[in-house]
Amino acid sequence: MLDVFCLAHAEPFLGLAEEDWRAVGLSLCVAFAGVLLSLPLGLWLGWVLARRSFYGKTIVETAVNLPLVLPPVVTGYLLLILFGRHGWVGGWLHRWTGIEVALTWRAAVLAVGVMGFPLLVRSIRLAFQGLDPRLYQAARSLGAGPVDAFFSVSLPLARSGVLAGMVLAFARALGEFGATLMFAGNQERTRTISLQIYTLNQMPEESYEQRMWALVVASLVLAGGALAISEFLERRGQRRESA
Amino acid sequence: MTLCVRSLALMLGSITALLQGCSASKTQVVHVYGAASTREALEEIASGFRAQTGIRLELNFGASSDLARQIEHGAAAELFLSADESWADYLANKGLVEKRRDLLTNRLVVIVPADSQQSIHDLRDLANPGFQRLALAGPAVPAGRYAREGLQHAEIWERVKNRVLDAGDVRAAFTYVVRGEADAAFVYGTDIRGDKKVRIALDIKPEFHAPIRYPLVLIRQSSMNAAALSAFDYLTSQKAEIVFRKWDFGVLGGEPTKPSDSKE
Repeated sequence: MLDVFCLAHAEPFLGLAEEDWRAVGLSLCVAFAGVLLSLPLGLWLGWVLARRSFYGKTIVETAVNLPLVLPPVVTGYLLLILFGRHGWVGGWLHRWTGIEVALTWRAAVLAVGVMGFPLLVRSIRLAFQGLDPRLYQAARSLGAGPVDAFFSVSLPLARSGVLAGMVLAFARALGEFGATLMFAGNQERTRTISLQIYTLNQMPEESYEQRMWALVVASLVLAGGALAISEFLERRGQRRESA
Repeated sequence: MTLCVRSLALMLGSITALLQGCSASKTQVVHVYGAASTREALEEIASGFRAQTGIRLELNFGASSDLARQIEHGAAAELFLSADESWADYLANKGLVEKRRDLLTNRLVVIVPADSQQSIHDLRDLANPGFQRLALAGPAVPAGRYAREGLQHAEIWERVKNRVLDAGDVRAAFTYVVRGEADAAFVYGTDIRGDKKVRIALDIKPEFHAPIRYPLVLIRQSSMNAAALSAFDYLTSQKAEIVFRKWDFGVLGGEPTKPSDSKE
């Protein structure tokens, strides 16, 4: 499905071979999909953590931030236990629907989504915290339901911060390695930029080293670009709020 | 102010003392890098060697490709047991080989999970739809090279290459099958070690790949460690041979070669 689109035929270009460009394309696709997948939950949690206090809030906050501090291979391993062929969720899924998650491109998407999730929630939460809560309350008092008020009032006002969070999570997703290696494995369908660099590094021939360097540069450019965009969006959001 | 200086001095003093304690070891140590498949055999040989000579073998296992590259970049290895000739050649080309001897042989097999219903009579059967995920060690790893040679010889590489799951080394490929995450894996006969969770589905005929040879290499150092030389001799001795055979390796006889000697 996704991979038909993302693993499209590539040409050798700019010192990178076909499979290197495929790795770039795959990284972009997987990162994009991962962020989109985590967006609904990220929006909801960002809102709830910004506006509500409840019993057990600290536990939720800790759980959300866990992928940020756990060693990525540990996160990957936990995902593997959950979603593997004999995993708690994965086993059930495999038996009843035949769908496999671990060691497929789906695992690559899930892995990067999970790793970027803390950054996404953090930015979204900050964005919502920066809004005047009376605007939302005004909408509610005028008869809007909670969902309506959220989508018509709060979200549009917070959109720069939300976008900044998405771009930051995207940048993190692009650079993900440990969890992807553990959970999705090193295969043709899951060989993102970092996995391709890892694979090229193991080959002794010099030609591989040149390609590796080209990928490293590509990685730096993509990460740097994404970070710069994220910073810009965040500052723009803050300027709007103070206006 | 003085209190601050005094506590700082105390801290630095204790750290230095600790570090001294850690590094100044009275036992002689030889650093041995071994292919992942040789783990159990080398561990057993190491305890025998220590009992006999008091010299401790510090063992580091991994894919021969990873180990050779670490050695190239200055890792403190004194002995290297590679799972193929090419990584010993690689180090020889960098002038890092003092002494070399072909020590072990092995065989390549295909394993499947013990409860798998699949049967293979021929390597070509791996192209069947029942094998969606094949775990192979990576292309630079000896076990991965032998496996790819085998698949190419059976003329199904092009058909199955997009089903290949690259494992970091041969033991990682083995573990994929143990966990049931891969449908089959290419490992060495010696990796089975009586594990009940896998079974051998196919013995791969030796003509399908380059001969599996494990050369033992003594790494060239600026000053050669006598303990390393005696470890080399022990590893090529009868006592070590008994242990290797116990773990199912084939052991080669013959004289050690210097790098200038011609290699077949």
